[in-house]
Amino acid sequence: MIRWQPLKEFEDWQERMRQDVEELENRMNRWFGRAVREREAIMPAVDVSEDEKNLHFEIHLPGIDKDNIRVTIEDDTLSVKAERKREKKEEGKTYLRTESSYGVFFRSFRIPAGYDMSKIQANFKNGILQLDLPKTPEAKPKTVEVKVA
Amino acid sequence: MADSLERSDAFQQLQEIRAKLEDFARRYTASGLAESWIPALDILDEGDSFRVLVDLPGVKADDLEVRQEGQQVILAGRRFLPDGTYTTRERSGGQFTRAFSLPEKVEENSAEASLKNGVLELRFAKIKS
Repeated sequence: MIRWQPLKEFEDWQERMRQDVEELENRMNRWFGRAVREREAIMPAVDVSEDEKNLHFEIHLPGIDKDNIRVTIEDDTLSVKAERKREKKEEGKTYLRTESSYGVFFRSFRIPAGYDMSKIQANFKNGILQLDLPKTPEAKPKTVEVKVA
Repeated sequence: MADSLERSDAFQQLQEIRAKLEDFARRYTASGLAESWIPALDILDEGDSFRVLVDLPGVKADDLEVRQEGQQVILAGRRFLPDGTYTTRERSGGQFTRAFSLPEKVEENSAEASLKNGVLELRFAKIKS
């Protein structure tokens, strides 16, 4: 015979609850973690366009050296991180006006299915990072001739 | 409990992100609709000269004009955005003009200009007194 232990049952329930909350938090962190971590970062302006072959990104990163740009792919997430350094403080050099943003630039995108992440092409020109993500062949719309009787 | 404190902090962070996103959305849509934009610029005093840095990503040298009238500097130009089917559009295209005054007299026609990585750099020599 097992003795009924109301307190034990309550404790079990509490433990399950705690695990659920933990799991939820882990999931939240996976979704938002990047954004929370990078919340001090500057969001560069972005245009995303699409044609029959590619998903095309144009990201504004003025004043940034090519070597200071990192493009990474993790699962279905494409991330761009770059750092724009302010002029070194020197004797006899003073900023009279600063409107430009300096610091860490960060932006990430969830890429829908149907694109080949391994075939991404990146190009940096005139302060714009261009990324081209080709569609996987089967994602291209097929033309189907339908005979009309 | 430290645990619950952390949780509310996470929610506050999410709130902050949302506020930031809304701010960005407002700014970009407001400037994007008008088909004109204003570039950000920095001005540095370097002792015997002024240096001006203007953010002009995507603007080609041919589409850019710099005029100097005494201490006044006028910038004008255009950014062409490629045609296409856009799913996200935050960049502004079209014309821009920007005028600013240098705080001291500079040599006429002394400006040196260069365009690199989407930043226009201008240097004006101060008049030696």
